[in-house]
Amino acid sequence: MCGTCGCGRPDEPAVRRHDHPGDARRIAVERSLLEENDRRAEALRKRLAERGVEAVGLLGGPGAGKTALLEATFQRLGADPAREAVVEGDCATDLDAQRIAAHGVRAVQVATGAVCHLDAHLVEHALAELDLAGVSRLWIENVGNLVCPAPFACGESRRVVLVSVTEGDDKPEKYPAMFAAADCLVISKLDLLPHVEFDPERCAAGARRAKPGLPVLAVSSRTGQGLADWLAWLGGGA
Amino acid sequence: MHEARLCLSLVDLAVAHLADASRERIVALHLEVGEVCGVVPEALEGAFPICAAGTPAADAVLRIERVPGRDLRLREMEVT
Ligand SMILES: Nc1nc2c(ncn2[C@@H]2O[C@H](COP(=O)(O)OP(=O)(O)OP(=O)(O)O)[C@@H](O)[C@H]2O)c(=O)[nH]1
Ligand SMILES: [Mg+2]
Ligand SMILES: [Zn+2]
Ligand SMILES: [Zn+2]
Ligand SMILES: [Zn+2]
Repeated sequence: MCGTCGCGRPDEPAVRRHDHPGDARRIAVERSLLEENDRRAEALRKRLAERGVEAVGLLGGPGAGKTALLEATFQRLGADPAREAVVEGDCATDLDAQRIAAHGVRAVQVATGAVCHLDAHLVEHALAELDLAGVSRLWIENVGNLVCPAPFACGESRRVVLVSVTEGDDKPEKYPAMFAAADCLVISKLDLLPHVEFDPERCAAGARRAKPGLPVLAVSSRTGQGLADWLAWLGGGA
Repeated sequence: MHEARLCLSLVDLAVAHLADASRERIVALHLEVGEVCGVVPEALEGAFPICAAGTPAADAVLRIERVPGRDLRLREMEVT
């Protein structure tokens, strides 16, 4: 059998591309594999918008500080916690949802198991368990992962990607897909900057190569540094 | 893992474009994989055989072309 295409011709050379004149018919398809999820995500975004809810996605590697940023935001927002709600995605446990609930904010945990990202369908199911009455902002914290969630929209109007200073300033260069799909880069754990080699300018430049004009903020959820800028960006709307 | 999901979508999409899925075999799938779509071609190739097993695409080869941008697209397929 042909090692390249399994076509059953015993001695055909295993080249990457070859034609089989006469016996194969070409069918043009021209369809995106992401379009089903894109369609669901867009329908979800619209449904939320009709109820006056804006969904904001939080993405970044494991431990980048996504949940800590939410906690700091809820502490400082001074707003009614009943106007916020959170969908938490992790492979296992509801630890993050518990952290959110401790702030009086409604949260539902999606345990994705082996699945390495949330998608619009998973979020739809999560929302069936979340009472959105009175909520104006829905946070969607994705599974900690700088690669896999990138292509899967989840109904967010805006996507925030976190890179903590302890991860290294080269992350946007190494994982451009995530930054190409971002609406804001948050450099997190700024209080640790004196202890690590991390150039915020390089990090910002790398992210802007993937997404020209990307807003870049730097915050510490621990000390509160930069959170005023963050809240201003958040309040700025889509 | 997300490549496996996408491979399942790929197989569904391809099979849906067959005129007669009971007789036709897909021998090749021509994909465009965007440089920043978050999908690694090698991972797609790794996940494909399991996702395609038992379908008319079971023996299909993936012909992957990297292109700029964020899309992941099935352009055409070869069928016998
Ligand atoms: N010093 C410091 N530590 C932080 C800061 N933000 C988060 N951390 C710590 O970093 C660790 C991970 O924070 P999380 O908020 O759980 O990160 P996450 O991105 O939600 O993690 P996953 O959901 O597991 O991907 C915890 O030990 C936090 O206390 C910060 O601003 N400064
Ligand atoms: Mg978290
Ligand atoms: Zn062949
Ligand atoms: Zn379902
Ligand atoms: Zn993955």
